[in-house]
Amino acid sequence: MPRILIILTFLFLTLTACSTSQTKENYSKINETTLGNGLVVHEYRLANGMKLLLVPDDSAPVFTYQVWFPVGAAAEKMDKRLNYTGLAHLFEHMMFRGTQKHPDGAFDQQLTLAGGVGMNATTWIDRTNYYQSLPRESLELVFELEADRMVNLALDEKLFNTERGAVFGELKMGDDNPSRFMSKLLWRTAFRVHPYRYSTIGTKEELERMTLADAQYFYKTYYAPNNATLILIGDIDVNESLKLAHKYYGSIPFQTVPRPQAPIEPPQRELRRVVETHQQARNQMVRIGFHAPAINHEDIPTLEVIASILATGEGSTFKKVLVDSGLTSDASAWVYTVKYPSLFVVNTNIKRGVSRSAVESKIFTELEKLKQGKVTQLQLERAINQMLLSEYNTISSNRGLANMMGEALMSSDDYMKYFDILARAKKVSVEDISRVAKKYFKRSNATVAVLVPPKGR
Amino acid sequence: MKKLYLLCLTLLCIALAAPVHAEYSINADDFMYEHDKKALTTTVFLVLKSGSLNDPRGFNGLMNATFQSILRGTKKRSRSEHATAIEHLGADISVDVGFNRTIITLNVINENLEKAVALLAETVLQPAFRSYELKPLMNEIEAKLEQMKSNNRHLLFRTLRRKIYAGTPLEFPPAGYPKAIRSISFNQLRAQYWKFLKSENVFFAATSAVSERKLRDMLSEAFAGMPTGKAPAEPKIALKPQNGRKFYVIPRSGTATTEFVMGQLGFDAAYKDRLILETAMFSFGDDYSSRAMTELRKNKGWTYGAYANYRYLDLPRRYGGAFAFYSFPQRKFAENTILKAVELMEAYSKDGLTETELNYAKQSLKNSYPFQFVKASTRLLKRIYQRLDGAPFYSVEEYRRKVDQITLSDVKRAVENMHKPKSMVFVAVGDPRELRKVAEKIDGISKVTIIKDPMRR
Repeated sequence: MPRILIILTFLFLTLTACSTSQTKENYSKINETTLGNGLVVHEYRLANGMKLLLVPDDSAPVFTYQVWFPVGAAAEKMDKRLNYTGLAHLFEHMMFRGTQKHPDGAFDQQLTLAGGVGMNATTWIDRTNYYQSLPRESLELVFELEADRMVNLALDEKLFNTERGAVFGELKMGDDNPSRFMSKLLWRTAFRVHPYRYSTIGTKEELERMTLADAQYFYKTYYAPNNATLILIGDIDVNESLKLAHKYYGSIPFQTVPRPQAPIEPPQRELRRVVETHQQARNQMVRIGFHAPAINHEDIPTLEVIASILATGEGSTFKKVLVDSGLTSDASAWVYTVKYPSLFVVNTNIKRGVSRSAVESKIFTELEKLKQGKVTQLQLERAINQMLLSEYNTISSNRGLANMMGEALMSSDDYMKYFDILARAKKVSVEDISRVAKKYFKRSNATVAVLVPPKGR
Repeated sequence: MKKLYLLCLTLLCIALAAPVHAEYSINADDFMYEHDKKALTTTVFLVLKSGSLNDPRGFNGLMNATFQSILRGTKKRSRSEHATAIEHLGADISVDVGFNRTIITLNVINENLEKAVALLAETVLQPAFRSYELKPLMNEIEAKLEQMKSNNRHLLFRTLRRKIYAGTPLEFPPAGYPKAIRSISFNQLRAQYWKFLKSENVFFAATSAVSERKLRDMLSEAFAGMPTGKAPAEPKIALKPQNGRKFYVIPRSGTATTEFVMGQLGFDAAYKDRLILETAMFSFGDDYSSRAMTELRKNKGWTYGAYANYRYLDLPRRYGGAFAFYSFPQRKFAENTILKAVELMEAYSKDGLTETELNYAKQSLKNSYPFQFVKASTRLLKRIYQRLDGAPFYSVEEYRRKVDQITLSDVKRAVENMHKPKSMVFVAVGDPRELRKVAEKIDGISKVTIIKDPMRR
């Protein structure tokens, strides 16, 4: 009897050890970070390379589920097989049009039936993301559906053409909108070489050329688990989530994903200007873009502070100098925090009867003051506290926090990047502002895009 | 004589000063609170139970201008000092004027809560009302309205509002029209403010990690000087249902999409069939899988979106709301889309939903209802809505029970009573010649009216 017991015990221990080591092989813990609001980010990686960021928060019985792929308009343009823009976005539409197991419409319907809200996706220059929020009981359902469409999409010619039609509509709607048109105009003028010059939605000609085979290639090449991050925030249990991740994503094989190096945009040597008429514009719009560094550059926190000084709130520089003085109806400034060097932008709508050159002159004068260090400590503290307010509000919701971490991860490989930027921003000095302003706010570094209304309006 | 003169002068000064009042303190009934343990910011709403419905005839936009003007400085601070003081604390104070409420919102990082509350009280109780600030304020409001002329969607809904609510104060959006705004005087602003800022006309609401007691005491102390008394009641509204179909065109050339809306009067916040209608509308037009989206986008690809609900012009309030069906097809598909939308509307109003559609709506809404309670601010806003408009705020169990009870015949009856597709307002933005041809194909439309300038009244 005792011998049998020993054998059984030995067998039991061996099996347990195997299953434990099997569990250990399926995912590995990378890190654990506590945020300022007390939530903890648990970072894991599956054996096939898929990243998981799990943030338990039991304040409400719901969760937000987001899947991020670091592929957007820039990547498709750099892919020699494709050389398009617009396919990543069109493909994003196709992700809702059915898999082999769940036919067209089933994804949305099942999640909606389960109480899902905010189901959508976005594509941009460096990434695509898919997201939804659901009641906690639906966790396994969304794992199943999302994993299924990552690998089993049933690409269908008819549906592809229907979605192409919808995207044409979206393209035209964007072109009708002066502000969105302006954005395209600025980027394609400021960049001559880098794929950031191309619009994410593509052009009519490119959309017409796209084939189902292109979509198939794109899907198989870029939608791989090792090219994906799941961000899950809400009323979840980490261990349960890991088990589900392994169950639904674990068997999807790793694959090699192309990582082309983007061409380096040559330095701009003189001011560029482009003026276009827009049928729907009622007044002149001016948008100035200065070449700015990528998100990981040390100057980004200072540029964020500068944007806040210039244009955040009633006490901002442009509000006083442009809006309150009656020259413009609004004024804004921001710096893009993306993977490659991009732009710092100043935007304004000029009031009728006001000279555009007067407005441009005012803008450059204020930038000149920054170069001279004409910034008070009060202005600096105001700008930083406004950035704090904005960040605190963003992370107050599951979705806001997930978006922030996802964007940071896609651009910088560090999901804590925006927290880091804010921490550094708190230490920015007047001297930093002067140095950075001198470096980037040169006329030779500027592209001025102007939209004017049709003559006679 | 001299003494008598001095006495009269003193009495005159007292009479002209801001209202003198007994000490005010916030009682439990006038303080709504939602705790949010992980919030790094606090939000305080000061809610006045009056809005633009109290604008005198010919002066629409007065309430909005009045309350926007309190952000232009206090008795102690100039406009610039006031803005800087708020923003330096990592705070924001904003004003939102609706039809039957005005909400002054403070949002601040918790570190500076007490100072920000004091500043909020100073803003509300000691506004400067400097006469030289009036013109710049009006210019800003007008400039924002002017900018709206580039926004076709805004023009569309502004026109719809005007036609559906014709002859009532609701036809004027709270921001007003440029002509009326120009005629507002400084004395009117001042008088309007003190007429409506009365203790019996306000209540407070807040969400914070700071305790309820501490926050209420802070607010009570800061607002001890609140003028006591009652404010004038809002006027009674008698809404007239639309009779027959009317088609309006806002002429715009060169648009690639044709935005259009068709609408009619809806129901008030406490309407007996509200839950039935909103549940049914989910499957007809208020979801990605709705009948409208399926027909017009998924199946045909004519438009990027087609939506229908009872919220486009405003939530249903104490008085009747509105229904709107909105889409923005590519111009070449405008005729198809508009005619199909009419057909969908007619079928819906006659037959209601199918059983599958109703079950889908019920299941989805019951399961997603917990999202109404997810954030402290969401819960708070629903409670405010309940108090101001009598809108029901069901618990999860109660909501699910009521939705479960909805039957197909309930839907058919409620939809038949509410929706009269032979009496609707159509508004479209685009080429009048093309749109006339579309209108001619819609039964019951005898003429097309061109609205050259939707911003003019």
